[in-house]
Amino acid sequence: METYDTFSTTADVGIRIHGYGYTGLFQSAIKGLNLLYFNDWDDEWTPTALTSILRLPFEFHGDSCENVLVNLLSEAVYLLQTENKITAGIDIKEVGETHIKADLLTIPCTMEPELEIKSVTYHNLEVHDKNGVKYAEIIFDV
Amino acid sequence: MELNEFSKVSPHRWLLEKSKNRGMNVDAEIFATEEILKTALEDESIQQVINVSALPGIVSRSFAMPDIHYGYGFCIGAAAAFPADSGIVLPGGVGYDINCGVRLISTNINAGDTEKYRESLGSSILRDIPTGLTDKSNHQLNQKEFARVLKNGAEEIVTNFAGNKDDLRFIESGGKLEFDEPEIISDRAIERGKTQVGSLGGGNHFIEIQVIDEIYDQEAANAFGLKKGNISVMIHSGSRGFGHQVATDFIERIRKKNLERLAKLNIKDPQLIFAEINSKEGKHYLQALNAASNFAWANRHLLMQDVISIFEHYFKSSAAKLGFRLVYDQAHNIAKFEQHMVEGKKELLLVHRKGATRAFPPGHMEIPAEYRRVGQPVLIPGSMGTASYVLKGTQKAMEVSFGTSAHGAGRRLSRHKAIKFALNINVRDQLKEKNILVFTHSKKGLKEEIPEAYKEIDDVIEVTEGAGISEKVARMIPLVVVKG
Repeated sequence: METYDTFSTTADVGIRIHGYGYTGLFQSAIKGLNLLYFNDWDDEWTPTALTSILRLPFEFHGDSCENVLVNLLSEAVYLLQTENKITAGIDIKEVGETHIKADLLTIPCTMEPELEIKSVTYHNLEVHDKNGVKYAEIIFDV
Repeated sequence: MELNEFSKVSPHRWLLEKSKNRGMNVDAEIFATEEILKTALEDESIQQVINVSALPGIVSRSFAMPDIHYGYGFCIGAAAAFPADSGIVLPGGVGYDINCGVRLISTNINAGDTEKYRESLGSSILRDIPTGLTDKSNHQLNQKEFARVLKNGAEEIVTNFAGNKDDLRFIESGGKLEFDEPEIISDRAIERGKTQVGSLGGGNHFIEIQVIDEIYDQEAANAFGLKKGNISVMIHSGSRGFGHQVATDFIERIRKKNLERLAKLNIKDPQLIFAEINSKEGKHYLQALNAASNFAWANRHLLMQDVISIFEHYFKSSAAKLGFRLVYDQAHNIAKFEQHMVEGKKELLLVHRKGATRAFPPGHMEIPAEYRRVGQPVLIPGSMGTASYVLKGTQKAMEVSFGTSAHGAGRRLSRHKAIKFALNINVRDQLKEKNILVFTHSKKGLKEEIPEAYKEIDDVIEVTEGAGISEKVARMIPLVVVKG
């Protein structure tokens, strides 16, 4: 179970995500980011339906779930800006509150992104848990 | 929080006295009309001003300019200073787009003479100057050249690419801050920035061809080279992916060592992470900030040269004959060491300006000799359908806001609300009716940047002048807008 939506503050934009456990939360985060980049982002573009996936290993050990979230999303922002790769999904091998080991499932970007995301912020970022479901709001500098 | 909790110092100055309950170490001062303050009270921006007032060692007051709006860490339109010897530095007090700023270029081209070229000028700028997220600069720098940009800023461009060395005097800090520790810059920052020197970027960045339509202060206008009826060019851009990555990197590095201190101070926004100026992390961040600032000045210098080349092509004349002259280039996301008077004593402070502009007074040694009689040019762009202003810095700004003024109109509507507002509006046609041609690759971006998404620039200017932190010199009206 993963869900995601976008919102905007006066100057910036954000994603509101939730998912079951850390796996669900991180998967929602990646999908939410893609919805910001591409208004018509479609879950039907699931990586398994795509033939040109390139798996890129990603591993991060941090101090909190928020720290992992920011670094995961920063990686996706970096890949799009420098290598023109969309992180279409994430295949999580190991996960916890402060770490993640995964393959980022990337595809070539053939569309013009709707906006330039400069960075992922920690502003008011706090991951909440309710009956195992993790909730967060992440603001991006645009 | 309510309006009646503020003391009205004057119609344009509002004071929130320090309160232990709110954790404030100093007062907070908002430069605003009652209406602007009421709007700011509707979201968390005033809380952000209060958060800054709670930071350790903050000197004098936590300030917000009339273009105040909700940001992250500091609000946008904020200024705060800390002692250079014992104070702190905050990446969240600068922003991710380090040295995002504005450059104004004057010409001796009469607006009437541009009429037949406006469409061509706009489409050529859009075609020839990279905008948006993925476009790479036309100027591919090799590794050594890029390293020199980080060290020398705009000087590298005028030395090895294009432009006039004399221009450097008309850039804040000469377009160069000291940077001599390249080993602290991450490979990622270099990777993000190396193809982007000479690119505009997206969002609210723009290149605008304007007509100077009103002069309020003839002496200052003469000093700045501004003549009614002539064309000016304004460029708004920053340090692109390089600066964004530098900020991201150093927030992580500072966070690792300092996160617990925020909690002890009961500061809830992790974006306000800070380090002592004299700590290893603080020193390294300031060095990296200088490198990113140098990148931004080099970037705006190359953008200016590219725009001038396009004018030269259509007017079949040289930049010198067309009278292109750099009026000024200034940062509005930066932290710099400056001397200021604090309780009657001169002190060296680290002044953070996030979405705020330096506004030094007549006689200040850090402004070009030609401007010293009148004061530093203060560039305040409006939204894409409205006027922009040139003002001049004042002694009062030095006394009441550490020589700081507003930086723009300031957003009023979020991007979602702006798009909703503009749903059935053809923004391009609407502006064309006002004789403004708009060029962009992003239709969505155009709706996000509709004039209605911003505060009335005239209200911001009224407060700026009313509070005495800058004085009007000239007004420019947009003719051609190229949006990032």
